[in-house]
Amino acid sequence: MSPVAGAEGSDRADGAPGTSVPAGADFVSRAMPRLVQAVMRPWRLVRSTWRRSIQLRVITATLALSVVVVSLLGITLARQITDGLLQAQAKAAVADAAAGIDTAQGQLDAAVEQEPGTLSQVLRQVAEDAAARGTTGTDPLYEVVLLGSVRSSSFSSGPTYTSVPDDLRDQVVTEPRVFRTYTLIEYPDRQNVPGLVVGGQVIDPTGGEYELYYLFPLTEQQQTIDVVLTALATAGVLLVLLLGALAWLVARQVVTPVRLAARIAERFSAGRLSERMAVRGRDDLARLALSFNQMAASLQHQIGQLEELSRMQQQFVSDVSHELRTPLTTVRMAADVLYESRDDFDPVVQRSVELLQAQLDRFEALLTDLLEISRFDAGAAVLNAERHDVRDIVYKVIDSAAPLAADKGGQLIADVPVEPCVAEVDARRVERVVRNLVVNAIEHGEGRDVRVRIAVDEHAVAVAVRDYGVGLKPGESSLVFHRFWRADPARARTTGGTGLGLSISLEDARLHGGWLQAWGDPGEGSQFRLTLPRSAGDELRSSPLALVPDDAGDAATQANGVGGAYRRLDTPEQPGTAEHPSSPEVTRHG
Amino acid sequence: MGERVRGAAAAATFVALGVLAAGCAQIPTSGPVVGGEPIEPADQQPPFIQVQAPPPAQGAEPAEIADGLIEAMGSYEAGFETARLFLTEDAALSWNATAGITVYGGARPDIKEIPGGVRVTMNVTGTVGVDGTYEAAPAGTTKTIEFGTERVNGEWRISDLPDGLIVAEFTFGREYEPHNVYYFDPGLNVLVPDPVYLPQNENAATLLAQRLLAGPSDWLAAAVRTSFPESTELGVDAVPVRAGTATVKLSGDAGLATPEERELMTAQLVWTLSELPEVDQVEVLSGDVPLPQGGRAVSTEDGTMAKFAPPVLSLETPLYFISDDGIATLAGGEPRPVQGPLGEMADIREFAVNVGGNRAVVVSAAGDELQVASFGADEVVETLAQGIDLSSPSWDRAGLVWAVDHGVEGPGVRVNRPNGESVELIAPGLQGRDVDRLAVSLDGTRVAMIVDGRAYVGTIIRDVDARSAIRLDELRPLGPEGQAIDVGWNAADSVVVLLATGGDEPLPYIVGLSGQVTEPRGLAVENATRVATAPPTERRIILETAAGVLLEQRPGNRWSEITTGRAPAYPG
Repeated sequence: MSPVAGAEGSDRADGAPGTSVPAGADFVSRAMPRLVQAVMRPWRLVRSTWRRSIQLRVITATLALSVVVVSLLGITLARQITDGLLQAQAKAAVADAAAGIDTAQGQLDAAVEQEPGTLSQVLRQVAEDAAARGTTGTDPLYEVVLLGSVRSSSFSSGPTYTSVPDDLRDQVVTEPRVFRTYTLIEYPDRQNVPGLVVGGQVIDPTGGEYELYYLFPLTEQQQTIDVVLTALATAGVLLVLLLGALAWLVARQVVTPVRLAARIAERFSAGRLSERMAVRGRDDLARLALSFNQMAASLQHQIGQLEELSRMQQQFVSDVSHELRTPLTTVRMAADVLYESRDDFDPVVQRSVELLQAQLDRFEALLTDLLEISRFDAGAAVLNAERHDVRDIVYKVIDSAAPLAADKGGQLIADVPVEPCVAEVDARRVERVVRNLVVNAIEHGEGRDVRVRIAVDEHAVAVAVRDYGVGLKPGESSLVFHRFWRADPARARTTGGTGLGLSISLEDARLHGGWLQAWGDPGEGSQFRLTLPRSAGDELRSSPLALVPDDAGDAATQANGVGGAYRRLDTPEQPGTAEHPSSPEVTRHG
Repeated sequence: MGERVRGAAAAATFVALGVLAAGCAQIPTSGPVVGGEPIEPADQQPPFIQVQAPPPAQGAEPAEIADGLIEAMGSYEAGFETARLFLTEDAALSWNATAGITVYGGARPDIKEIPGGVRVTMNVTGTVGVDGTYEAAPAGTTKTIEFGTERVNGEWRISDLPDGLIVAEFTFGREYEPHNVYYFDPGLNVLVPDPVYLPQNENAATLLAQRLLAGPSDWLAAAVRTSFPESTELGVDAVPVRAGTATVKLSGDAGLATPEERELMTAQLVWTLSELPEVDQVEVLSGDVPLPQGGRAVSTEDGTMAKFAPPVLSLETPLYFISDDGIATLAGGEPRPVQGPLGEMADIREFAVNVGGNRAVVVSAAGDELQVASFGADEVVETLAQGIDLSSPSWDRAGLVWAVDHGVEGPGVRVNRPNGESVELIAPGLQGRDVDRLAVSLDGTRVAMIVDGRAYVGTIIRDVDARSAIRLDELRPLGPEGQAIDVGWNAADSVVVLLATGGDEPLPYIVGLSGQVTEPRGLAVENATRVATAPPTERRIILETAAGVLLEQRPGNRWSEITTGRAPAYPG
């Protein structure tokens, strides 16, 4: 923190606040995500564990519910026991105190005969006798406090006089009855204890009024309650633990086979079709395993059938292409003869010959493409990677396609870095891809310019071809790579496209371990980007070029379709983070 | 199949456990017979009641003020704040409440108003000196005190009064309790208790420590020694007791003493403070340095402290008596003659066994000779001394033999060294009086006697090696008035007096040196003539009757015959 703050401060001292503010903002924008990340990581971990684990959810729910129930039970029990204990004690205490006060009054009445000076001794004797009755063992059953008016002495067997609450005193002097309340018995030399105080009035022979209080320490009750509470708490904790353990056991019984099934299903979906679950016993889980296995068997069978069918189709296409080639060669030779001597024919026939020739060209191209596709399908395509400068390949394509662009009325603009863009690539295939993209762009560019950009970074080389034609509708960016797909079925083919070009390009890109992606927006044109790893076999993480071009409108950059195809093509990479930092919009909206 | 069996077994176990638990929860209607505590007489001490005396009332007459003052003096407060409310400001400042106590009998002293004050007349039953010792006053002692009174802001206050407190006997017995402060015998071997009265309150430990450092009471001072230098005082004027440990902080000079002296000081403090029920251990610090070597807190059970314990006989010590054959012991209920010539000497008047239990001194049948012999087959009987009407022989720790000898001029008591050499005894208090019985305490610092039919206790003042003369001084009456017959020590601080009051049969009274008397319990014994008792168990009291039967008191206040014989004696 401090070095950054210092740097900021020095910035300000230089009198350049304009630069310091972005620096600070930059720091905040850099530090905040990190901070948030540090906080969020454990939370995310917990959340993801919570979402993933049924067991955790079951145990948590069981624990939470049992804690609630056990707490309620414990509180109720504790309260009932406490109430019972205190009520029994209060009853006994009131009886004791009433009898004691009566005895004390008797003692005082008997003192009538004695000489007047003995009153304080009699009172002391009264207090002593009352306290002695309460002292059976080591701990007294009760303490005695005898309070007089201002003019007479007060007596206590230990507690301070303030242990008797004032409101109890107020009540006791009003009525010849026994009153009781709870209090804190305070001792000058010992720890205070909770207690029950019962008191009544006694009158000495001279008419002096005294209040005799019995203070029953509730330490024993407190101890009993403590023991009960400890027992309840222990039992509660054990019960909760037991329920938790039960929940864990039960959940484990269910979850383990489910997890097993999930793992086997994952393997199954990863292509290991012969995976099966082990069937044990005859319970519900065994039935699950059984039906899972049946499903797997049936799927395996069907997939096998489909694969077989697909292979047969590919074989058929390949065979047909080969079979067509021989008669086509013958037809071609005948057509060439006809074409060379077309000047000898009348114009109608001459036109027919030219049409024948043109369609034969198309037919041948189609057959070539079909064969290429079937080679890819059969997995027979081989990558002959060598080190090439991609710029050369692109220049070559641009040179050959420039006339076509000029025909359309647009221009081919190349935006090429000065440094070499060397990568291990199959030049033939890359050239085919780039040509395909450029020709497509010219074709759909509606006579506007076509821009070809090359960019390179440490790991990848990217070629982007941008046109400003009709663009692609949302969702079409992935469809373009489908075989024989047309943006507008009614649209006439002006150039000899076979409908297989982008499919083959895509296969070529894949063969390199690269990406071929399309972006487009109606009215904004479209952009195709080919990204290739610089060394063959490397995995691509990002592309030096943005898929969405800089000159695209805001609406376009926010379009959902962006990168949609990209993901489906090859890699699980998120489009936003995949982008090069030089494309701030995309980074931000990713 | 297997699982089902296991489930059934588990269920059965649960049911069995449930039944078991239900059984445990029931209150039993039968069970083993369990023994409990032996039945002992309950502590007679009434529960302590704190009294808060009322402050002076408005418009009270001088007599009422004097009455209120005496009432307030009765309830102890550390500074007697309530009592000082009755005094003028000057008197409150000058009055010293700790200068002794006058204990009066009856409900209230007679208070008369005289010009310039009030006159208070009371029956004095005893006094407590500044040093804390209680001395009973002879019956019928009266004392008259005059209080000067003055009006302060229209209210009567006492302006002039003697120092010290005036407390009713009733209150004194409740507010004050006796404690022992321990000092050393002159040889610094054992501790001797010095009973003092202290108010019952939570500062007992502090008061006791202060009392100990102030030195022994006047009565005992000459007979004992204290190990504290005179300059030593409490460094912090409080002895807090926390969780059974009392912490005494002495002034720094105590730490300068030698390790032996420090050990002695610690012993005095530990034994004194351990008398308090709330104290188990004592931590003695000088400054912040622990005074005893090694551990910080020590108790009386620690070896270094236990060796100074006031001497007592072990519980296994047998009773000695004269059987038909000679001197015998009663061990395990069966009389057995002692070994040697003494076991065959039946024709003797009395005897005493030494503390070691291996030697006895015998008074011949005619009472004219003291003979001594050890227990053992081939021992010979030697004559120690001769006298006239010898009786009541006694050994002390130093090996001196004491006996009543009517042939000795003056004190009537003879003291002999083990070799027969006689030691001069100076006893001014015994001049012209008739000593009947005597018993020397086990620590050898005090002697209990029957003089002219009254029990007394006196102090023995001697040099460390007892070379020169011994002085017997400070005689003080013990126990209730009546015809005292015999006396014996049953603890370091109490004696048993066989006493007949008002023509009743004599009974053993346990009398503390503090003046406390434990009334005898149970049925009277006909014609008891002698008592034998042994520290430390105050219940081990043996009576001899005129019929020649030895009785022992059993729980339940029953006197039961243990054997026939006479002159029962424990060592000492």
